Amino acid sequence: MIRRLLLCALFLAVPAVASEPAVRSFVAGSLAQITAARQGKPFVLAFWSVGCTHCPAELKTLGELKRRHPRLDIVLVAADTPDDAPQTAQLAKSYGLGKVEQWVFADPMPDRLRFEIDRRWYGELPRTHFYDRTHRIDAVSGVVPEARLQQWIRENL
Amino acid sequence: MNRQWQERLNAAVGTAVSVAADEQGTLWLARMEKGHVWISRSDDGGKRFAHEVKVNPAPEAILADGQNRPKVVAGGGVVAVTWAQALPKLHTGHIRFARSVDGGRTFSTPITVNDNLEEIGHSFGTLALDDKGRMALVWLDGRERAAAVRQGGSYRGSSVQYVLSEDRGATFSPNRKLADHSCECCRIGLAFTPEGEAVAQWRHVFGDNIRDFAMAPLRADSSLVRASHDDWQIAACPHHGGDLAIDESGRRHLVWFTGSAKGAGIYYRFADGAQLGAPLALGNPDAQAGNPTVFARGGQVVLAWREFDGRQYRVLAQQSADRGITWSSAREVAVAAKSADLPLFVAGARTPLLAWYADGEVRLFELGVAR
Repeated sequence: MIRRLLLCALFLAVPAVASEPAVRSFVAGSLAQITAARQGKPFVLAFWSVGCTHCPAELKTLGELKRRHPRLDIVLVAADTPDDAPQTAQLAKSYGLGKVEQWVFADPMPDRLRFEIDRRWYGELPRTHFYDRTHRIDAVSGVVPEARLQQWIRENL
Repeated sequence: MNRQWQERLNAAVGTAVSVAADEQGTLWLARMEKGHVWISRSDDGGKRFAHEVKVNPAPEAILADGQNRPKVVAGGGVVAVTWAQALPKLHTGHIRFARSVDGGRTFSTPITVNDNLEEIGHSFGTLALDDKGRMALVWLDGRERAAAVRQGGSYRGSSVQYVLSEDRGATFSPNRKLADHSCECCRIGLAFTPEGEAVAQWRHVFGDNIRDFAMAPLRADSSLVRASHDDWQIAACPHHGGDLAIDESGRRHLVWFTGSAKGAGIYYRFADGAQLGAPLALGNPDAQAGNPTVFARGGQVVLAWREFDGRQYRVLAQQSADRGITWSSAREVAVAAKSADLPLFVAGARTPLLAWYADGEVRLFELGVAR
């Protein structure tokens, strides 16, 4: 009996280990968590949304860059709702970003999250925050031209 | 289907409303609930809205959030409303219209105004009515883009289409194109000149994705004037339109938002013909100052906008008694803690009466200076 339970537990555990990282809930304080985990390291924080017309172009470019530069640290934050998590995960995967850290907005007043992230961000998507080693931020609204992404990689990776 | 679009299609209650005044001072509120546009009236300046009437008899998916809202106008015994009916495909819709000629008791069967009926974008419609019964309806339209794509080409943004009426919406002109290459998802500013010509102001795509504002009169040989020079280059939809008012002298008063690195925030300027005044920065850009609206009449110009300080929404206002030359400092009009639509001046009101749908109720504020 015990062995059977263990076997069950093993079976349950296997898919969890093998699956893609879960989409985490982005709430007040999440940004501090994301930056704290990357002290002294450059990364790209990319905000997007399932319904945003211009986001696929951005995700596609980021996916290709990630393939060419595996060390590139990308954090995706979907300005959607936790209910959208399965779809954001699936979309991210389709752009080759299935393995990067993923978050989804989880606040009944998303304006509050935006204000905490950058009080000068009015919600345009995609929105990309480039963090250098010292975590100085360069924020770009709209699809980032690929040349600019390439330049950032040259200067920071 | 896109889940979020599905949710917008199934939204129980709209988060964006509009209010109009007729010449008697009766206020008319248009809102969306459970697939219907509802019109109610207030005879006490907006303290209480009553006698609510269902406009479209059959429920349909209606966009009533952010830059899309049922837009009501009233005057000469007519109450008229336009709205965007959402179609199943993502970001597609039809421009709908209905009117009442019996004091808002019953409404005509809704019509679809766009004569192109493809399942593409026809939305962000707005409506204006002048004292002589002229009506203008202008919207953002995907037909030019769809045609270009069908031929294997590409197309920047959307086009601006319109219809005009000389009889308060009993009949309309055919659909006409005002301009190619508008930005796709920003509300449009619309007002009549004293001569009875409607003028629209919208976010345009200039060249390679410079999304600044343009304006143009709604007439056949129209050409647009660039109305802001912020050089905001952005490959995205800012979902943040502007507003336009025209005073008795024909001076056009414009407010808008830009995210340009040259100076992000909201601005006011006036225009006399092609002559543009200097832009005046408004509000606190560190408190998300945005979504400005403008009133201009009798020498008075009043501006209002929304801010958010991380906890609360606020409406602020600023006024000029000399047609936009000198300005009072900004003052706070109202606060809301949970939810807030854009503030909008009441269409057709003789005084600067501001409507704000916030924390679940429609509030009205008379912003006129006592004289």
